[in-house]
Amino acid sequence: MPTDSATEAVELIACHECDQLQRLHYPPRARVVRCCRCGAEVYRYHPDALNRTLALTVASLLLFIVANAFPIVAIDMQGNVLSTSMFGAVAHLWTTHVPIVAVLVALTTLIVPSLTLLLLIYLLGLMQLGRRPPGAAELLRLLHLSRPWGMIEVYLLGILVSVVKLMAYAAVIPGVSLWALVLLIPLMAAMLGSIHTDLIWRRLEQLK
Amino acid sequence: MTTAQRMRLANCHDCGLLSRLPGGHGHCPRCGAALHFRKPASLAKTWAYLIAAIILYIPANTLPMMITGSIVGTQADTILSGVVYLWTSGEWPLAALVFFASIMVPLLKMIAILLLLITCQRRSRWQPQQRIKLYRLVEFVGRWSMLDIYVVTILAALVQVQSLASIAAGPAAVAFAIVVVLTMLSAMSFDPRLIWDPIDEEQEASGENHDTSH
Repeated sequence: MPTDSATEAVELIACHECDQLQRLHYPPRARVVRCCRCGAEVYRYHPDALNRTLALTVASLLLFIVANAFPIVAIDMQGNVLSTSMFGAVAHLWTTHVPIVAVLVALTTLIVPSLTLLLLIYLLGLMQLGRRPPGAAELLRLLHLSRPWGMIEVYLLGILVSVVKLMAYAAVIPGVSLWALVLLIPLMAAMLGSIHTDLIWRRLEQLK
Repeated sequence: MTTAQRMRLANCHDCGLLSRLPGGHGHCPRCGAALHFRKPASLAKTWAYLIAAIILYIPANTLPMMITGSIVGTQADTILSGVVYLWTSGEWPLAALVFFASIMVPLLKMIAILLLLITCQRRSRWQPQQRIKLYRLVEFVGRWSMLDIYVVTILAALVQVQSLASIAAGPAAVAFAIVVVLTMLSAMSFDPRLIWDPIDEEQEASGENHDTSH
């Protein structure tokens, strides 16, 4: 059970994959603590995790805005130049007869990533200012719940596959958004990997 | 070896705090989430999502995924015929990628969940290390099946030249999207601790008690 993060303590921790009860020296000496029985990651620690997450989130948000503001790709098909943006692609699916697919694509590529970024900036930004963000528990739960549904890296692969498919028929012009996405994917992965829910909670308890 | 459940301790699913849970039900003192030793009705939920996914996997593969219209006429492609077309037109790395993401991943994922469900239901003590690795693989790989859905989304939005060529998403796109969601929900409702429970119970019965620490 957590104590003040400034002092060294031995805590009990249960593996979330095999329920093995084990001792954890807090703060741990290793960055990643693995379960002694099944090898699952039971604890990830970085003393400056919150600042890193906030910095990476701000950078990701800027790139995400760029990725949404410009067209992903354009094609030149016998003189007809056509282009689409991330939102345009979803809107087109909605107007043709597959609204369920449109909702899923919108959720996984637009709603969940933007929600993740905005929630983290709100929570970590206020905590940085030394205030406890109102609704922190509910928002952190929402963040935890929505996490598996952000699939922006799969989307980038989908764009690349589409580009290769189209190259046989038309001249393909990559848009600004595509380059923004190429930069955004590793940044977003680093950001998601740096999120440290337990440390956020320890800080929140101190801010009470 | 001691488990948290035997000590009447439960991990909070949301914030990760370990706390006492004498009655089996309660709320996390730190974040307020509902606490339980194991995910409630884990096996039943996992079965339900999995069976629904298996049923929808059939229309997802037999109905057309993408309908291409051109001056020559319209052509309806299923996922597999799309892969075959890529292969024959010389784009074999792409064909392999789409085949793996759209056909192999969902199929192997469903087989893997089926295997986990049957072994846990039978309270099998067989190869827990390998089964937990299989579970992690299923969780990691599932999202990549969305690939074909995104390809159709982008192609349909781009290729809209009046009377020259047009691409539209077919009915299989709906079925396939639901298969991806259902298999993800199925993997999420599975509680990996059920793999270890029969092993722990056996050890408890034989009276072994080792303590471990980091």
